[in-house]
Amino acid sequence: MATSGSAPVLDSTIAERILLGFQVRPEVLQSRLPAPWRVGSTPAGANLVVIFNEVFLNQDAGGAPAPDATTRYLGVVVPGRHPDTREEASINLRIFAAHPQAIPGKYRTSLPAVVRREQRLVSEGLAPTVEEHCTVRVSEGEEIDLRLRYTRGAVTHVPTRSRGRSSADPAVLRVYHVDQLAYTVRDASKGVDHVLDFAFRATVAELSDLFDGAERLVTIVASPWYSRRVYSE
Amino acid sequence: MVASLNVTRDTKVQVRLHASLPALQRRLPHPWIVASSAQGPHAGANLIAVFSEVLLRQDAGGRPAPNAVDLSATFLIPTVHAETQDPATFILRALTANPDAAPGWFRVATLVSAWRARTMTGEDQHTMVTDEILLHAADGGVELRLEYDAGVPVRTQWSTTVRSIVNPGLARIYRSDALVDVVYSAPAGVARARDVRLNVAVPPLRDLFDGTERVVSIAAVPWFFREELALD
Repeated sequence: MATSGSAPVLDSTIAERILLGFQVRPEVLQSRLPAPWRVGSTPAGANLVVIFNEVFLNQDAGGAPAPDATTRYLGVVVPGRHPDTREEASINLRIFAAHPQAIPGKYRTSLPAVVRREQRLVSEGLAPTVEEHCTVRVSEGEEIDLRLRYTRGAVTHVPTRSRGRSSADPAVLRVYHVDQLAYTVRDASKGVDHVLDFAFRATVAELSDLFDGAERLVTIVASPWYSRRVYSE
Repeated sequence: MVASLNVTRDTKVQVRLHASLPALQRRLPHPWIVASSAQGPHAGANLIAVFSEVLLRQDAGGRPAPNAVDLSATFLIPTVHAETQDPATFILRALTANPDAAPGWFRVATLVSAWRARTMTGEDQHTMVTDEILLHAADGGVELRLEYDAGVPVRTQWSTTVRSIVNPGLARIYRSDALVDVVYSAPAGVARARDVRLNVAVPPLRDLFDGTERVVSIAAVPWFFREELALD
């Protein structure tokens, strides 16, 4: 069994992901964070990150397929900072998951949803054009819908380590060791924009104050190759 | 400890076939002999066609290699050394869309124009994929088309010695880690693939694809990692 120092691995995931980084009004985010956590931001300036996950395989601590071995889900997280300990962690606000075995999930924030994804990739030579259409239907009339089209250029190898905590219970800690390839489709802070088409719509009632029209998209990152191990510390 | 020469992250479709044994054997240098899979979902396969979309290949220093991205097809023969019983996979031919990958380290790659269209449609736990890959050269080409329902892949790690058919001394060790989803297997009775079409019209491979070859299995590999090592 792999370990991080003395901590055993909890689980591992191999997936494909799309991350959208938004700037939203910090006060509405702050009201959702458990005390004393404060709203932070990503290096690109986003204070809210929406992640579409296409999970090829979830494995348990022993390497066996997890009950939700293949699934797709959407995560909503806030980069947070603990003012006393200076710990930085992604605070998981909500997950909308397709697999019934993923409810309530490791962060205890997961709700069931119908998650649909269509991806079309056309390569003429070595630079594919990628079209994505992801829909998360939480209930009748409550949806999150993403349409994205871009031409993928050179991807970057981005191994990372990060910490995740739950907004429902900040004592829930998951430490991520990630190996991934990433392609920055848009980064407003660096003037990068490879977007050919983009539309995002969120009509989920509990997210209405986050997506009230004042939000601003600052980053889109596609990760076509993603692998992580999660540890308890 | 053997140093890593490069690492590759990609996605693949592996088509295993049963082709003419004499046509395969006469390509191999003495004392190597064809070793078809004895059991499992690939039982009887003696020729492997691997279609790869390389997302990133990095050199030993972690920098993007000259052939950092690629769309390719590679034809491989599983073998065993008649005297030592050491297994090896001979690389017979490769078609590559990256000019920096031809003729390649194994000296078997030719440059082609490439086109791929892949559509994945999924709702909840069900996923359907259609994949079409065309690799075209002046004197012929390769076409693969298939549609399949994705299943729960199996995470598999393995190590293989790969040798060049033009010079068996050109050899490397491949250490691989992958998710493998066998979507079709005649021996195992897996039939999640439909509308499979594989046309290989590459003159040097004509006797292997003479109409008597048959597909044994097809595996979709949505996630693949490979480390390439020098052979001691």
